[in-house]
Amino acid sequence: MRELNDADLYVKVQAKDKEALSLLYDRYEKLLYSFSYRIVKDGGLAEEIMQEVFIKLWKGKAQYSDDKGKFSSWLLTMTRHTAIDVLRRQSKEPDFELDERDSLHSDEDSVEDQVVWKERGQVLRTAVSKLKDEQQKIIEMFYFKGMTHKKISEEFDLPLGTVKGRIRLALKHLKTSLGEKGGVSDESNL
Amino acid sequence: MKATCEQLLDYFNGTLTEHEKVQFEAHLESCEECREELKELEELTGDLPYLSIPEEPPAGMKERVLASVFEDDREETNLNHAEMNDLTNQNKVTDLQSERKSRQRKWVAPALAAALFLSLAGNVYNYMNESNPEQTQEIASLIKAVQLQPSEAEASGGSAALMNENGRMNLIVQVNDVADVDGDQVYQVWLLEGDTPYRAGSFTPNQQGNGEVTYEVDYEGEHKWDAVAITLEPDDSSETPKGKVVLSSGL
Ligand SMILES: [Zn+2]
Repeated sequence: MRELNDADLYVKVQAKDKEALSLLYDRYEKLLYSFSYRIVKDGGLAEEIMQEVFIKLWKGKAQYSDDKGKFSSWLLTMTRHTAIDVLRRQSKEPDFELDERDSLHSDEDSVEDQVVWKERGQVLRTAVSKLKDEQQKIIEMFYFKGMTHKKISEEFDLPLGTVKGRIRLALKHLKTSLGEKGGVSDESNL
Repeated sequence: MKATCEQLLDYFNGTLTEHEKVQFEAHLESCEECREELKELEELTGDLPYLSIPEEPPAGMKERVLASVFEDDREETNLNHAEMNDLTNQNKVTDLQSERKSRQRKWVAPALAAALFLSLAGNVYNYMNESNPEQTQEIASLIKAVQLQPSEAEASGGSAALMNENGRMNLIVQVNDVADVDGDQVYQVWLLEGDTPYRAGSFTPNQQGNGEVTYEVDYEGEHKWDAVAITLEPDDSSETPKGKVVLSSGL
């Protein structure tokens, strides 16, 4: 029997197939947990996010369809939105700190199916470390902290109308830097 | 706040209110610049999740998470208001509350459907006897109800209704005298917007050739549904219709 792809499993989950949810969970546990952790920097909150994400999946509250792109991208976006929501509910200002580990090469042991992730991560971290501090910071605040347009404009003392441009520029620099490394951009939808 | 191009970033981050989100999605329909910028943002950030350092998930997390998912599901079926308030007082359940309500509503739908079809079709089904009358006390309004027409001169027939139930749209479809299915085959319901089909539930008929399905229509953005159609599909995973249309109607 062929292995069910993510979309197959998702369909089964919509039909309340517990086994399918369990398989999807196994497939994504480490990535989603690590991504959540990266956003909230707290193990307990990261687990809470996992719980909300899988409740949303189970209940079909968040609906996936082919026109939303790859399942994994959709799931990561849903996780990021959930994490940002959890951060906002914490009501306190998100602590901002550059994740110093971003500029390090992680040599943590990694199971086989995480090798690709690990390699991509290293290429990415190297590329990020080449950005100016302010560009690193704006990506952090915008993408990982979900800070609003208005907040970013205040934090960086930028007119509202230029915030979008700054973020784009930072992201484009990152992409360029990745391109030079012969990086992972061609897999960006993986 | 008016939906403008300036809300793109907050839309991308999912921090708009539900209302603003709907408005912005309407704006996206008409603003090519925003559509392109959104696509660009998605492309440029597609790799960023992999910046995360692989973390070791805490021991037993899978059991806890899945248990809470299924537990939460089970609780809903007999949740009363007191319990609901209790749950809301526990941490983090706030936005799950509305989901609970919607789940309860799904229980209600068959009864509503039955009431509706009784009046629509004039045929006496005995669904009412099977449903709990207490469950019919929900606020619901009928948006549109149509009779489904068979594609060929077949004996099959059916009805479809779009209902608004406390702000959620449900499509309720009921058919009679359709052919039996083989293997994994299912009857798939589609909502059509122009030529674009959207999945809207599937079912397999009983031995008498009758079937029904209630589907919560929850596609993002504004939609104007033009038609409803039912096709026979090889299994329940078709993203676009593969089989021929068995029953359909304009909306
Ligand atoms: Zn626009």
